[in-house]
Amino acid sequence: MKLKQLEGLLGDLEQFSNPKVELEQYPTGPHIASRMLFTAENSYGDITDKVVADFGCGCGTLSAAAALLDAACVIGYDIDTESLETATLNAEELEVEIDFVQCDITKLQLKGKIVDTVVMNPPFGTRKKGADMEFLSAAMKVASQAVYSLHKTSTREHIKRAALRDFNAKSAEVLCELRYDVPKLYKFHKRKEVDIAVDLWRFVPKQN
Amino acid sequence: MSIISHHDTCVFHLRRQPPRHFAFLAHLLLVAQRERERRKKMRLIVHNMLSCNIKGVVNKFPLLIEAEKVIEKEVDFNPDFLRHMFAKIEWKALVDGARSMGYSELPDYAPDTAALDSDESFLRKFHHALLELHLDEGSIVCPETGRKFSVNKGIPNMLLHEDEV
Repeated sequence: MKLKQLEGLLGDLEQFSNPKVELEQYPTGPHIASRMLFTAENSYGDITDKVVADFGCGCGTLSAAAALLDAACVIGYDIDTESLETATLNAEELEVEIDFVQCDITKLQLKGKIVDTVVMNPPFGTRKKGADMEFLSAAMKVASQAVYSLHKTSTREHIKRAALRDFNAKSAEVLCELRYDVPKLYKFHKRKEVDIAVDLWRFVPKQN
Repeated sequence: MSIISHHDTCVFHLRRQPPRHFAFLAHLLLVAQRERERRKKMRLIVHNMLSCNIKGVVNKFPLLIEAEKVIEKEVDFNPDFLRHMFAKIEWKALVDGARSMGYSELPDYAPDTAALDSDESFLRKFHHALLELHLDEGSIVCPETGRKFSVNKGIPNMLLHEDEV
C-alpha cells in the first residue's frame, strides 16, 4: 500500500465525539499515523505479519493503520468504553480485523512475549504528570521487537535517559520530528489550533 | 453454548426468487447477521497474554473461560506466522481455552517443532484455535480468586475495582 493511500483511508475515520481531557484524548491525525506505521514497516519490517499492540488506542487510528499494512494480529488497548466503541466501528468501516481489550495500561501486565511491536500515541503527561513514562514503561515490557511512540520534543533528553536506564532499552532513537496539530477540543484551549513539535521514537528492547 | 458459523444465513441468497415475505425475513436475518459480524470478539491469541492483575494474586494465569457464545470466523492461513507464534504461546493455556470454547482437537502436549514443518493438519488446528475461535459473550475468570472479567461484545473488560488495585 502506498503512503498516500494509507493516509487517505485513515482520514475517513471517526474521531472522539466527546473527548475526555483527564485521559488526554487527542486524535492521532492521518498524516502522523500513516507516516509512523509506514516507516515502521518500510524501514524496519516491524508491522506486516507481526503481532502489533496499540496502547491507549483511542479511536483506533494506529491500530487501523497497522491492520491496513497487513499485521497478522492487531490488538487495541484502551480504558475508555466510548473510544473502544468508536474504534470498533472504525475497524468495521475499513473491514479490518482488530481485537480490543478494555484495561488500564498502567496496571496491565501482559504475559509472555507474544506481542512483536507496540505502536502508541500515549498521553503526553501534561494533565497527569508521568503518564507518558508509565505508557512507555508498559510498552517496553511487552514488545519483543520494537516500540514506536510519540513524545513531545521538549522531553527528548528525559525520554532517552529513562528508556536506556530504566526501561530496558537497547536503543532509543528519534526517527523524525513531526508537527502535531492540536485542534481546539477543550474549553481551556484559547487558540483555534496549535502546532506542537513531537518526536517519533523507535525503541528496541533488550532481549531477555 | 452454541457455535454459529458466519456462513449460516447465506442459504437465503441462493434460493431463486424467494416469496415476498421470505425476502423480508431474509433481510431481518441479514441485519442480525451484520450486527453479529460487527461485534468484535476475543480470540485465544489475546487470551494467551491476559492475566489477573488484582493486587496480591499469585496464581493469575491462565484465566479460565466461561463461554456463553462462541463464533467461528475464517482467517487467512499463514504458516510462517504460526511457526513464529508457536514458540511464544503458552500451549496448555491455548489447549484448555479452546476446549472450554468447544474445540478439543489440539494435542495435550505441544508437539516437537518438527511437526510445524511436516504436519499441515496440526498447523491447521493450531491456526483454527489461535485465530478463528471467538468468544462473543462470556467471562474470563481468575484461577485463584474466582473474580470474573466480563467479555461484552467481544471486548474483555480487565478494569479493576478500587479495592483490587
